[in-house]
Amino acid sequence: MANPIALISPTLATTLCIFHTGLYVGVLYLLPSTRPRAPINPSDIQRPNDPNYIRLRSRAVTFATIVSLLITLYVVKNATGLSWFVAQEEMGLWPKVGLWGWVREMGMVMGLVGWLFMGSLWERFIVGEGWRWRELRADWERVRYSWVGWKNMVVGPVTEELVFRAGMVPLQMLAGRSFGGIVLTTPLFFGIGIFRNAITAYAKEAVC
Amino acid sequence: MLSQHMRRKLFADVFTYMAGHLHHLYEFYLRNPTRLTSGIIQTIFQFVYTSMFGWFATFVFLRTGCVWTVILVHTFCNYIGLPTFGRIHDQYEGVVWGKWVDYVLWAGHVAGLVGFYKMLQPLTEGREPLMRI
Repeated sequence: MANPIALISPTLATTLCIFHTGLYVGVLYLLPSTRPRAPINPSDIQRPNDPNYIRLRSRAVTFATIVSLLITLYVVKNATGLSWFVAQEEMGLWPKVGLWGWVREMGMVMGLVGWLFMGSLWERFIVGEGWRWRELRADWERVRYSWVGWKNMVVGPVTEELVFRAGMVPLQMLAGRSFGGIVLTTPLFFGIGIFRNAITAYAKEAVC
Repeated sequence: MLSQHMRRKLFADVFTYMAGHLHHLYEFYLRNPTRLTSGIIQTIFQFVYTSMFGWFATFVFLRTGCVWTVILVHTFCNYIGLPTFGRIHDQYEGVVWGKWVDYVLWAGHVAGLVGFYKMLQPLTEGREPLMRI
C-alpha cells in the first residue's frame, strides 16, 4: 500500500487534518465566553451579533489558525528537508509569480467566479432601478465598521482558507495523494460551515 | 472499484466532515429544541453547498498555488450568498419587464454555469501550480 512518492504516511496526513478541524472548531468551545449556549435571557437572542463575542471568537480562531499553520510547516520542513523559509513558500502562502502575475491570475479566477454568479450579480446590483452603488457602499461600510461584516468577509475566509487549504493540502500532497483525490477529499474536512451566518439568518434565529 | 484502504479513508473523511457540521446542528438544537428535523435538513443542505465550494477552492489552490486568490473567491462567495432560484418579479411591481425579470435571472444562472464549465480549466491556469492535473 505504501506510495512510492509519499514522504509522510497517509495516516499521518489524515490524522493531522482531523486535528486541524478539531482545533478550529474546538477552540471556540474552550471558554464560556466564546462557547455557544442555549438562550436564557431575552438579550441572549442578540448574542451572535455582540461585538465582544465576535471579537473573542475571531481571536480564538486566529490563534487556532496560527497553531495549525505552524504544525503543517513543521511537518513539511521535516518531511522535505527544506529550510523553514522554503518550506513555507511551498505551502502556497504567498504568490510565487510576482505581484502583477498574481493580480493577473487573481483577475482570471475572479472573472470566472463573477461569470458563474452573473445571474446573482445582475439581481443584486442592476435589475429594477439600475446600478446600486449606494448599496455597494453600504455593504463596504458594513465590512469595514461592523464586527459581523468583518467576521463574514474577512476573518472567516482568511482563517478558513489558511487552515483548510494551506494547512491541509500540503499534507495531502506529501502523503502522495493524486490531484483528483486531494480536490475531492480535502474539502470533506472543511467542517466549519462557511455559510453559518447565512443559514442562521435563514432560520431567522441565530445561535447565541 | 475502490480498494479497502481507499474506502476506509473515504469513510473517515466523510465522517470527520459530518462531525464538523454537527456542531452547527448542536448550536441550532440548543436554540430550537423542538425543531430538530429542520436543523438536520439545514445541516445536510449546508454540507452539500460547502462541499461544492470546497472542491472548487481546493482546485483553484492547487492550480494557482496561492492561498490569497482562494481567500478572495471565498469572500466573494460569502458576499453574494446562495443564488435565487425562485421567482423575483413580484418584488419589482411596475417594472416594465414583468415576468421577464425571472426569465433573465434564470438565463443568467444557466449562462453562468455553462461559461464556468467551459472556462474552468483555462482561467485557473497558474504559472506556479502546487500540482498539475
